[in-house]
Amino acid sequence: MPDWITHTTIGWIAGKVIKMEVGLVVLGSILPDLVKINHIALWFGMDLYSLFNPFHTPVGSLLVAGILALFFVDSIKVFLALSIGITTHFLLDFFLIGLTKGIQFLFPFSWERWRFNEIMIDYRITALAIIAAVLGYIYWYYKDSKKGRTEYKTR
Amino acid sequence: MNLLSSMQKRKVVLVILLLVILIFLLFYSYLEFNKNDYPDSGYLFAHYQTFNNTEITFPARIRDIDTANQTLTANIGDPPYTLIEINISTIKNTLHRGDSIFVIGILTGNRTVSAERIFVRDPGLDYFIFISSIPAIPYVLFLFFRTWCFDRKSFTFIQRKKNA
Repeated sequence: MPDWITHTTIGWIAGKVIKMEVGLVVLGSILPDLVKINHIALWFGMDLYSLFNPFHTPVGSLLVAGILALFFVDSIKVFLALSIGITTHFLLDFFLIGLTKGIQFLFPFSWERWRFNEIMIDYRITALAIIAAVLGYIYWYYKDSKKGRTEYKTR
Repeated sequence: MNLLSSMQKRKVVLVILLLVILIFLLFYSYLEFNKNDYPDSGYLFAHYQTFNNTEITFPARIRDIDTANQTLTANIGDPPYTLIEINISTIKNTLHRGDSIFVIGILTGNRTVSAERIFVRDPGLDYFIFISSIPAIPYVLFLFFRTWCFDRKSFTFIQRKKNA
């Protein structure tokens, strides 16, 4: 798994590209890492990874997204935005090796883990994501300001 | 007395239902994980007969490289380490003693592996991931609460009014 800066940056780009509520997509992009609650258990000398493992599966994350979405008025829209973030998380984890054993895409029906054994996680992935986000920010900033000027002129 | 609207009632029922399914999944995983999940490297090498001639992946640290025989010895797991021998005849990477590596290869016998691919991991990567993940928490909270706030009356998140 890459670091959360990479996950949230990719989530932010995805939210901007598909024009969804960016805050929700970004939140969704780190939802599967709820599995990291296990670190708290480890401080108390208990390894509960086996208990929290479903959080890092599509079914588990979508269930959490579903529960969260029900606390919003437009639950479906929120659920979709969170799901996009979750998808970006699993895509990143699937393509990068080195830290996870793979993704259990079909859990609980199958325990098999899938991973694309090609790209090793390293600092360049984070750097690339940040550069892409900065370029994206500049692009959308100028696009929005241009749109604002056009609207002002037509008034 | 404030009665819940039918929409809210449906949502409450759905939340409870989804929570029950989630809790069921968590306990199912807790009970079945060790029997079904891909084993860690210690288990793979301890039960090599079961996994012989299959592709395995595991992290290791290079202890020694024998360039003449195109093999290397590596430590796996935590101390006391398990020492394994890896055939690197097909590997083109430049490897050094002490490198932290990630191996994809075929288990060929008791503590012997024929490597198909070896990726070298930066030793500071775990620390980097931990450190660079910390700023993401306030970042996510900022992005979320910039747009949403919790309304205690309706017990839902509502969108903040723009230019309010």
